[in-house]
Amino acid sequence: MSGELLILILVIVTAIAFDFTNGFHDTGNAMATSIATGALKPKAAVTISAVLNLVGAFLSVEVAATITKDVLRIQTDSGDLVAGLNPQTAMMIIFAGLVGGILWNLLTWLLGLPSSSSHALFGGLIGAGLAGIGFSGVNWGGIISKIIVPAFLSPVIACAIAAIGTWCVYRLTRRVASKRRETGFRWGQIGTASLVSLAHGTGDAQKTMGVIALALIAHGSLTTAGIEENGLPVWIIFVCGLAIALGTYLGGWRIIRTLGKGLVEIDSPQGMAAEASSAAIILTSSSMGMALSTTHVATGSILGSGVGRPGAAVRWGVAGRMASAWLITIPAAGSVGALCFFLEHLIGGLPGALVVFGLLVAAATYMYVHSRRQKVDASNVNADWDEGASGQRSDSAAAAK
Amino acid sequence: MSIDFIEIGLAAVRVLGLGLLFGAGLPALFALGMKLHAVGAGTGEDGAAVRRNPFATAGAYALYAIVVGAVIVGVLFVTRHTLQHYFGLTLFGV
Repeated sequence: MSGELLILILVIVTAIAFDFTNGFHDTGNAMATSIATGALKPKAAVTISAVLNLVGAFLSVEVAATITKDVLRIQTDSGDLVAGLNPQTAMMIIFAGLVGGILWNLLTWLLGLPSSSSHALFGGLIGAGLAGIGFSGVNWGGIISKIIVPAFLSPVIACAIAAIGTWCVYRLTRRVASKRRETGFRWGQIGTASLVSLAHGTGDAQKTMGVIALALIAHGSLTTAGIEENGLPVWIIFVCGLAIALGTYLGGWRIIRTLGKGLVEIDSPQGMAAEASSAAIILTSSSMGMALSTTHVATGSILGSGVGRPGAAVRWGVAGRMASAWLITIPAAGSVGALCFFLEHLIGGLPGALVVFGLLVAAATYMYVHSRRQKVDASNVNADWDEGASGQRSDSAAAAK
Repeated sequence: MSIDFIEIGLAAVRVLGLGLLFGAGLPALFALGMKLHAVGAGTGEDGAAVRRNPFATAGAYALYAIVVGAVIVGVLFVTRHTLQHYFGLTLFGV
C-alpha cells in the first residue's frame, strides 16, 4: 500500500470524524427547544433528528464537489485541482483543515457553546491553505461575501423573523385556553423541529461529502467528469449520512442545554415560532444565493422568540458569550489548521500525517475525559439554569444528576 | 478581490422576505387555526364551555391543511433536483 493511499484513507477517516462532530454539535439547533419545553423526551428527540438527518443527507445530493471554492483557490470551477498544485499538498491541506475544524468543534462542545460547524471547517481550511500555499491560495473575496457577511446577517434576520412569528402566535392565541394551546403548539414544535433536522441533513452532510470528493479528486481516484455524470459515489453519501446521524443521535447535550435553557426560558409557542423561522431560512437561503450556517440561524431564531414574547427575559450575557465564540471560530480553527500543516510539512509525508492524526486522537480523548467530570446528558439536560456558576457547569446541573 | 455588496444585500432581502412568508406566516396561520379550533370545540378562555361552532372547526382544519400542504410543497421544491436524479420524479418543471 503506497504512502499516498494511506494519507487518503487518513483524510477520509478524519472527514467522517468531522461529520460526526458536526452531527452532535448541531443536534441542539433542531431539538433544543422541543426538549426544553417537554414536547419530546430527550431520547425521542435525538432519535427523530438522527433519522431525518440521514434522510436529508440522501436528499441533498446536488453535486457538492466545489466545496472549497468559496475559501481557497485549490479547485477550478469544475472541481479539479488547480494546475501546479501537488496532489499530496492538497490532501495535506484538507487534512490539516479538518483537524482544525474537529478540535474547535470539540472545544466549543466542551464549553457548551453552539458555534458553527461550517465555520470551523472553513476556518481550518483557510489556515491550512495559508500555511500550505500562502496568501494567494486563499479566496479572500469569497470569504468575505460568502462567509463573513452572511454570518453577521443571518442571526439578525433569523431573530427578526422569529420575533415577528412569536409575537403573532401569542397575539392570535391569547384567548385560547392554556392547556389547548400547550398541546397544539407542542405538535407544531415537533413538526417544525423535524423540518430543521431534515434541512440540517441536506445542508451539512453535503459539506463533508464535498471534502471527501475533493480528497479523492486530488488523489486521482475520482474525476469531476465522473461526478458530473453519475453524481457522487453512493458510499460517500451513505457514510456521510450515517456519520452525521450517529453524531446527532449521540446528542450534544451540553449545547442542547445552552440553547434550550440558557438563552431564553422557552414555552412551546416560542419553540414552534423559533423552529419555523429556522426551518424556513435554512431551506430557502441556499437557493436564494446565500448559504447560511444552521447554528447562526437557530441561535438567532431562539433569541428572537425571546424578544418577540411579551415579558420574556433574554439572557444577553449568554448570547454575548456565544457571539464571541463565533467571532473567534475562524481564526481559532484556522490557527490549528495552520499549525497542523506546518507539523505535517516539518515531519513530511505519511509520518507527518500520522503524527497529526495521533495528536488529534490524543486531544479528542483528553476533552472527552474532561467532559465526564461534569457530565450533561439526557437526564439533566433540562436542569435549572444557574447563571452565577457560569451556567453550563452549574452546581444545579451536577446536582440534578 | 471583488465583492458585490448589492448582490449580497438583495440575497439578504430575499431570504428575509421568504423567511417572513414561511417562517412567520405559517406559524401565524397555524395559531389562527388553533384559535378557530378552540372556538369550534366550544372551549372559551380558561376552558369554560361556550356554544360549539362547526364552521369554525371546518375553518381550523382548512388552515391546518394549508400549513401542512405548504410545508410538503416547500420540501419537495427544495429537493426537486435530487428527486429527479434518483427517482426520475419531475416536479415543478425541472
